[in-house]
Amino acid sequence: MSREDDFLKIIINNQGILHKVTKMYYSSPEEQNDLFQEIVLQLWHAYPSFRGDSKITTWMYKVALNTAITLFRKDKKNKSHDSITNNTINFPDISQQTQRDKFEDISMLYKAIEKLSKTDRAIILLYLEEYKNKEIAEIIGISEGNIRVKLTRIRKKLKNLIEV
Amino acid sequence: MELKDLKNIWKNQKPADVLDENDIRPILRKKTQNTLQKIQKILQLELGILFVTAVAIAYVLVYTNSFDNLLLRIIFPGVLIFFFVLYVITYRKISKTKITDITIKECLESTITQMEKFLKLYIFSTVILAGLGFFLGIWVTQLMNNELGDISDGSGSDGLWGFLLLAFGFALLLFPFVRWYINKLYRKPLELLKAYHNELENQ
Repeated sequence: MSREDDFLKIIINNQGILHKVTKMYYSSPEEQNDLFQEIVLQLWHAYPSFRGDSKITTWMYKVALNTAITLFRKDKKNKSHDSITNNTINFPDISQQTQRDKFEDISMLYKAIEKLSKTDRAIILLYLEEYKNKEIAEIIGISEGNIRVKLTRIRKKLKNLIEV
Repeated sequence: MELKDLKNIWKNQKPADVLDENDIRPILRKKTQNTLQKIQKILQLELGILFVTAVAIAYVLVYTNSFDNLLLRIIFPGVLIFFFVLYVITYRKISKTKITDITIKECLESTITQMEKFLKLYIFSTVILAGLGFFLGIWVTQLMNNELGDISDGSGSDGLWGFLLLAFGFALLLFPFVRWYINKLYRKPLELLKAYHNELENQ
């Protein structure tokens, strides 16, 4: 199997990560598609130097988030916010909802997350993906204590955004 | 709704359309559009402009038979070589900036450093090269009007110094405008990256 085939297999098996990151940072399908392509390219360029010190998914998150936060610019079209706003979103009570409402819920969750800053979005994404605080700290590059503080603040922001 | 339910909603999300090998393979042939690659493209363009300028200056020096003038022999090649070396060093440093296995904070720091260096170089080189272009323009115009005299025997050197002072003044006048314009184009994304970095640092 060639290096390219090997890489494609990894991307195809883990493409959910890339879709989640792109949806986290951009709301329009065109921008999501552009970011998806850019992340795949960055992963492809970085792949020869991946030594397997960390899990492949952790490596993919690092490259994908670095691309979304630092290297990819679509600012003129990007309507997402870099700071918290006073807008709130009507969030239904999931205890009473049916399966067909789930699509609506996730859209609303993304809308709430869109109100967070880019770095906060990275932290909440990893939290939602069940990463431990220590692992999140290793990906973001700040202390575990700082992650704990930030997660508390982000959850508070989300609580304010989501109308119970 | 409790915040613990966020994870449940997250887990229950419908998977995105699944892409296969035929969808992803063509992406590998595309060109990246990331910030550092854009800076590299600008540097490549600047190197191209530098090359064209060098050829144009060499032509003018040959055409006006001015190679013997010490001042011109030092100024033009000196400035061009200086910027050529700076551009190549900056280009190589950006090429070496990798985002493999580095944290988000490290990636921000490294990109901010590279962008700041690039902006300084871009402003500095634009002003100096514009000054040099101005000098070349008035010098050639004067030569064509036969007002400078034959500089190859040194009789026109006083005039050259005057033109150099004029060009220096022009560059000084141009500096605030160039700095404003280049900052207008590139400062906002840089400030945004700095804000993300500060946000990460602050508790």
